[in-house]
Amino acid sequence: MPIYDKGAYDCSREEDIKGEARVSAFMALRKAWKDRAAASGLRAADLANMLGKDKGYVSRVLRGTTKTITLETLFVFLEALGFVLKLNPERIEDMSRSNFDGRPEIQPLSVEPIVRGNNSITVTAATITKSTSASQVRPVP
Amino acid sequence: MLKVQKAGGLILYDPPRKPHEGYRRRLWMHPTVRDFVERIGTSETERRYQADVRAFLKQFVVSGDFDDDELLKLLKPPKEGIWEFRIAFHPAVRIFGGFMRPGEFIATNIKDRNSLEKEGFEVHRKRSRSIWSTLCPSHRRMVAARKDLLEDFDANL
Repeated sequence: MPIYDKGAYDCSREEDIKGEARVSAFMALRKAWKDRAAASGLRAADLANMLGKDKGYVSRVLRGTTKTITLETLFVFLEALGFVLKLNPERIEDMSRSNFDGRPEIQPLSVEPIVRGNNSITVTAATITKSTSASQVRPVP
Repeated sequence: MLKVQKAGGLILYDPPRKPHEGYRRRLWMHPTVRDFVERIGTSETERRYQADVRAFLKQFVVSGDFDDDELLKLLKPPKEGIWEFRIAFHPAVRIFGGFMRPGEFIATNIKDRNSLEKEGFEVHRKRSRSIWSTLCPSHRRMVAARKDLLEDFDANL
């Protein structure tokens, strides 16, 4: 079971974390919109009327062609679509971990020193093979 | 596929994932696509958009719902099996490629939406086809319903 590690947070990934927030927000909106459009025949013009916004703006938000999407916009659109977004933080150590790993199996890169004539040593990565189980080389916390 | 990977023709996209996020769909990238995706960006706007691109593609890998024309669209003619990822938000980059099999996508080339408006899709569709045939001459792109192509990758197939 993974444990919370205060030292594990990598602040250099901040922009990527924000990107995940924006993309997750957009995909949540798409999911709700597709659901309502399919089940209730809702159109962008209907939603624009409900929101009291310009149809062009609503279409751009729904299609993801704006610069970004804010949490406030997501909440407003979801409310109009009759959805509730639950923000329910979970401890990472309490989350069920996924064992699904579709990546090709790889071996840890073994290193072979190559001694050159001038006594310098170059280290090269050995060939990747499939003989080692992925779980051995990719421990999932 | 591994041979092509070893030769440097394709790179597996392997974004950092949280423990509950499995690697559910394989996403291979041509080096030019990978270079773009991994770019950090020089301005704040660029840095933000590059992060959006990575997050979008990560959603594909962890099995996000891409059964949606606004996210993943089949180009015409459909029999060619060339798809475009429509990366959310401005400047709306498009990543072209095709499915090797369900849950396994090869991203061949990339273009921003503004350039596509000027140049048209044809040249980039042809480029995608040409890169594919160079990389995988003995494999055709899979043609099937999007929902079926978006199944999780199954190594036992």
